[in-house]
Amino acid sequence: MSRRAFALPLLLALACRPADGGRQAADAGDARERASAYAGRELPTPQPKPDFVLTDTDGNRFDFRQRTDGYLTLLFFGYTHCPDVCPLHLSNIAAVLRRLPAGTADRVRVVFVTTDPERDTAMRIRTWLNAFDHGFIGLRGSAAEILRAETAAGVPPAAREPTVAPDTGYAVGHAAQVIAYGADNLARAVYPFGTRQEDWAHDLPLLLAAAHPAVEVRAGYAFAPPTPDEGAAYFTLVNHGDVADTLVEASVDGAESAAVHRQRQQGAQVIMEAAGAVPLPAHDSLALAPGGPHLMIRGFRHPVRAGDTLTLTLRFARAGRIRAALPVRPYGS
Amino acid sequence: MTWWCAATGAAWTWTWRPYPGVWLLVALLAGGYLIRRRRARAADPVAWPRWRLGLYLLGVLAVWIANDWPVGALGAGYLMSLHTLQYLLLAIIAPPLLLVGLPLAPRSPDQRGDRFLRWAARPIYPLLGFNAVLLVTHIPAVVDTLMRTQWGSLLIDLSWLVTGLWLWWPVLAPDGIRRLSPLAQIGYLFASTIVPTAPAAFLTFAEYPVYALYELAPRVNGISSGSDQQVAGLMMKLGADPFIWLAMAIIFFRWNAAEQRSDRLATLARAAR
Repeated sequence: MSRRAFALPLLLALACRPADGGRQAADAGDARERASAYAGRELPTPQPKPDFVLTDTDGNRFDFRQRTDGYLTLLFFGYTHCPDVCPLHLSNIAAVLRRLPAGTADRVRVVFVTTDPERDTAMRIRTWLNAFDHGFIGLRGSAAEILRAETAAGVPPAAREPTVAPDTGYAVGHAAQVIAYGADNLARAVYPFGTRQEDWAHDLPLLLAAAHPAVEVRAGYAFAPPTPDEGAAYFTLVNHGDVADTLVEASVDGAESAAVHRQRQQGAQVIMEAAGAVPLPAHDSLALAPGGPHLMIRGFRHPVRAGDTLTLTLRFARAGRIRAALPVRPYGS
Repeated sequence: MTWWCAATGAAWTWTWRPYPGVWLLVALLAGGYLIRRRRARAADPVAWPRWRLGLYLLGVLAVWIANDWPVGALGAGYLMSLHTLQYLLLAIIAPPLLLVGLPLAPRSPDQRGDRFLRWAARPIYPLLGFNAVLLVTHIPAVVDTLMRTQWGSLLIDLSWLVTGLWLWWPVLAPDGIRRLSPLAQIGYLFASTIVPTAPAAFLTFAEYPVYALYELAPRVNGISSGSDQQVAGLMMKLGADPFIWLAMAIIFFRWNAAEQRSDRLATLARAAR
């Protein structure tokens, strides 16, 4: 085969090389992860769960806050004649819930509130929701009650719109995002239209863990740094969960950077090096202690003295962000 | 005016829509053939027999169904399974019908301008080209980007048709172009079924929908994106392979019949001596 003849297969092989595309996708994913632990849109500050009362599809009074207390709750305002956003959100959530480990889906409540009470009867809502999941909760009420619920949840009120499809009569413009409230009744993220099943699969375990973190930071402290350039902190990480986790990132308020360092023997010397991502197996612990792995903190912006408290933030791949207070002890004590 | 089917994001209705670009392609394929056939038959009434016309028009019909409403519209923006049906019609089914239906004149070995046709008949190139296009046009980022525009969607559809014709060229090229031997043709066609197994398995066994376009498209008749994708993966393999096996069987039996005829002639010749 001539040189030219070799060139074509090579070009084609390069053109369809999956590794590049995969790496780009991974890079994009990493960039997103660095910005937020969630695939959804993380809220700058957690929002409290709204307090409203509507009627469920059995005709019973449903106190939203009370009846969903302790559950990861996905709240969505929509309507059953919706041609796109509503059925897609609910079918994607249902598909992912079916794949969660046994028992986990039971900790999730999906609540659908109709924004079209005129057409959405209790029976119609129930039949429509059953097409996705029999466990989904459907709520309705008067237009005024629904408006109060929307206001309490901080979403714009729904409004009737003309539609090009004459058989459906009219469309309803409504908030397109699903709001996720943790078991601690705080919303940390919302999920706009375009959220995919793999996003839900990524975030639901994080949201479940956010209120009851599987990872715990124990017995943390730091030494007062001898210079403002760098200092060290020590603590023990305990993973109570059934799945392994990874410490991805660390930061300390008021410092430029923080990273886990470990010691390595190189000939006669012991050298320090950044450990990168630190794996934390299920039901296991990792102690960061003097003479061993530790958290290296660099670039203190203010003097830190014994008696102060440093605020540590650790980001785990599954458990998300965990904050801990580190009392500062005299250097070497 | 929408010339070619592309994803719109609008809720699907069974309202018919015109796609003039598709009609233009079909008219060019069918009209060009019929004009050429009429001229050829004026010179030689037995040229371009009716059975070839039938096969060719079946190929054109496959191209038309794949691109026009409703298969084209549903495949472009709603259902991955129908996108795969488009692939089967354009890349696997239509090309051999078009090539068999087109009685290309035999080429003489020194005919000028045939370098490309001879080069294209070397089996390694169509195998690489066809499979490269197959893989690239099933990369999620490519599908999610190109299928949103008419030009992108047209590019994917035409790339399938052109590389499908190329794939069948070493088997169905006219006399004078060096074709593969019957056994090599069977091996070649079998080899063409290997690579598509990878994207087919990927689609069938993926945990979650692979293409955002089809996952986030308004649902059609309540078909879930996960089920749709699994059907698409199965269709890619189970739809294409039997068609290629059928072609392999035809090649084998024709070869066998030719060998027997040749043996009989040899026996008769020996008896005559």
